[in-house]
Amino acid sequence: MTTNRNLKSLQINLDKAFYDTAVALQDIDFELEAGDILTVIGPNGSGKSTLLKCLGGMLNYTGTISAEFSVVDHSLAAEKADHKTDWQELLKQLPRRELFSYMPQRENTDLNFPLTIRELIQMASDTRHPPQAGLLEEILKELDLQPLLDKAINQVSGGQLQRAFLARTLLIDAPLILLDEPDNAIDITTQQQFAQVLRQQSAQGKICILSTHDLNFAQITSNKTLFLNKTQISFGATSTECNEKNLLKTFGPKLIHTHQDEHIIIQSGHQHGH
Amino acid sequence: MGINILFEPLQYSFMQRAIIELILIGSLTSIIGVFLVLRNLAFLGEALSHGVFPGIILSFLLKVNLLVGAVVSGIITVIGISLISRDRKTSANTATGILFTTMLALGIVLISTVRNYKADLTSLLLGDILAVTWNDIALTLIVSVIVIATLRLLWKKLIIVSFDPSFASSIGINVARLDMILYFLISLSIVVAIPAVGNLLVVALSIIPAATARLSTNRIGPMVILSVIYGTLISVIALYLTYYLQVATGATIVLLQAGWFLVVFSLKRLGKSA
Repeated sequence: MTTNRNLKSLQINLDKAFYDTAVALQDIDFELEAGDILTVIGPNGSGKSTLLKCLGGMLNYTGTISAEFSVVDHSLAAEKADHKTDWQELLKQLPRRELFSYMPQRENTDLNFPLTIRELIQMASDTRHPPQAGLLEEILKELDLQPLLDKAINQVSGGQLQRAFLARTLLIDAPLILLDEPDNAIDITTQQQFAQVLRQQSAQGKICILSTHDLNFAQITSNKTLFLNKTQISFGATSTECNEKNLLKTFGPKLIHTHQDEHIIIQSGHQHGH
Repeated sequence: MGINILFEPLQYSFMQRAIIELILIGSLTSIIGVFLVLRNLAFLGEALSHGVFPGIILSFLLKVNLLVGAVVSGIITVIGISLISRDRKTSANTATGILFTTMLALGIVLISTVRNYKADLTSLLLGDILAVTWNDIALTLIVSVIVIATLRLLWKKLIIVSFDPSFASSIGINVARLDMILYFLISLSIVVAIPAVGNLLVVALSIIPAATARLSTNRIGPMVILSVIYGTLISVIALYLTYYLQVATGATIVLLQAGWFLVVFSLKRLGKSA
């Protein structure tokens, strides 16, 4: 059975979010609509991953996240037409893949694991929830993965591997796509390819939320931007929010811009974010 | 001489039993070893092998099935490790080190309550494949069926959890439950191998064949097959050696496994530098 459960909107109103027992994030309040692509920008440890993990039901929070669907879905006990449904309730009621897909930070995976690209992508397939016919082929084509399918994951380049991770995420075909630093280890060509693929997803009414360090990637990919440093610094249209003032407020005066292939990168160390 | 070298020992029923038992535990432990190696769980495997020790002794003293005591004692070890490592000042490695030495000590104290315990202790620590009974073989067979059937059923999920626990949790896999099932299967496999190769060396039978197999392939299927071939074939060769040379079987198996690892390791290094 394929579900056409599209999100009409997503309201995120977090009081506090917890990583282990520590408060990693507080006072977050923004709303997204169908087709939005949101970039979350902030230094390491600013709570980018925490925000994504709260949406993925992997961390505890106080406050509310609620969703509104564009099609009334009678299979949901809690849902009524034009009513907001609590995200935590949805996570309890529905298989996760019908709500969101998630691409974790790649630092958490063993890149020498004996897997082929095909096996990596197939992790997303589930016999009880078969993907729409032709979806896999379409994703493989868009991300140029067909020739790499039988290669081991430690035989391909960082960018090729990242494309496979993105393919695995898209194969789940969920209405909300969560990507934790998807631009890690990819070059500008691949960034543009990712941006194009995500815009196609948004054209289908999906909502994408991605975290990054890279302003350029934010600007070519997203229509909305959230600046984050343990709390919400600013939220709005990418074209207006990516300004000097917000960057300074988020990263502090030590912020360094490096112009590399007309590319603005925020230098903020290499440790993992929380 | 000649072909008789192979057939002469087979006229003894203790040798027939030893070969059957070695093929069974060799297959079982080397399949489990694939997970120990891929998840860097060698130290946890070591801890579990000693963690089950007091349970085995207690079952022996109370005259109950040794599997029951061993599994309970193994689970106590795993829970103990996870509780102690919750305090950030004691890492998982430190917790593991504390738990397995404590459990080993507890086992030794328990068995020392028996008069003339040294013979029993020696056979438990070092094992005696030539003393294996048909009952032992039947137990190994039952455990093999349980472990392999469970692995087959949960294979894909276990691979996903091993490679990428965050993604696993994002598609609704209960990572903690699956980890507990894996530890349970490791404990079971270790327990049935102890009478044959002894508590001190049993983990080698898991780790070394899988590590050797990992060196020779980048694919998980072939890794499992190679691991089983090394785990059984080399163990049986070692058994023949000990028959003719009159040396300790368990230790000879481990030495031969290590020798084969060294051969594959060196060939691979030479191949790389050539």
